[in-house]
Amino acid sequence: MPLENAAKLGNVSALAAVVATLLRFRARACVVLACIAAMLCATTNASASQSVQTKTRVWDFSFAEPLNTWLERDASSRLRLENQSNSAELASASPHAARAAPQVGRTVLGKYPDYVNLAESIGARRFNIPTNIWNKMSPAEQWAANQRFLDRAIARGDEFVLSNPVKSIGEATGWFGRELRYLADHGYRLAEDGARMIR
Amino acid sequence: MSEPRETPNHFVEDVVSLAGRYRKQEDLSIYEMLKRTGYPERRGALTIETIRKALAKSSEHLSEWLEYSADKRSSTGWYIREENGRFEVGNVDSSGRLAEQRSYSDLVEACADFIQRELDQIAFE
Repeated sequence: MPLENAAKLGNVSALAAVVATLLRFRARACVVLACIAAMLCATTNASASQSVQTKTRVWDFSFAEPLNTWLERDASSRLRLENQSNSAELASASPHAARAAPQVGRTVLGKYPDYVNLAESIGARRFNIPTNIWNKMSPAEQWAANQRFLDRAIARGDEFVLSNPVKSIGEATGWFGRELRYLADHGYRLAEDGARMIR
Repeated sequence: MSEPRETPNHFVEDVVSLAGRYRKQEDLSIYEMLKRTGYPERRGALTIETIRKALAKSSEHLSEWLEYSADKRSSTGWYIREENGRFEVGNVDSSGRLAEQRSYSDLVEACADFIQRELDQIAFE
């Protein structure tokens, strides 16, 4: 159907031509224009819905939940409540809403399990992947996911709290060191207390 | 590394050296590498004692397992860490809390305990 094709393609000129044609038949114009509007709305909603509901696929693993629901976890609702009270925007418990309106917060980095423990106790974000998935990811895939998590925290302007304080970034080893170097490459520096990465 | 090696000694050596070999490559998951040792089929032949003996002979693997544990970013699972001069093995539960902690004065014993628990979780859970 020409109308549907034009709407789906978002071809403005084609739509304008269709509208102009319809205007010649004024008696039916209102009805048909309403149909076009409904069709456009349906297309937009379907597209938005698809982006939210589509299964997240990371490398060779397919998950029922979107990636961001488990890439990071707020350790408690306390942080969310603090964020809500500090933000002029309405915050929702939905991870999708949180994604739509990123809020500055605290993210904990460090060695396992120390960073998990600290994030739980202070109600901060932490990198979090279900164990059975983590074990089936290659190191390259794991770092890609970790990097994405860091990128999101950097974009929010988060402060990074370190569960294992260091005197210098070079002192940190393994993935913890890699995370700190990544932050340093993105404008962060070690705070004087050695327990935070700040801008 | 393709097929599991045949002798029990080789199998145990493949298992205790796993953390170090895993850290030196980028393409294979720990699950895949463990499977290639024949662990799921040969698990019955492995005891804490055989792991402990293999670790005692190759102490370079001890630090590799400590680093492997520190690098984990999974939601739950076993860990090994040094705490005030002792070595703790424990589990992060689904609420993010530390559970089932045991403390060891001997790193070899702690590491053998961690390896067996960690690898059983990877292979069978």
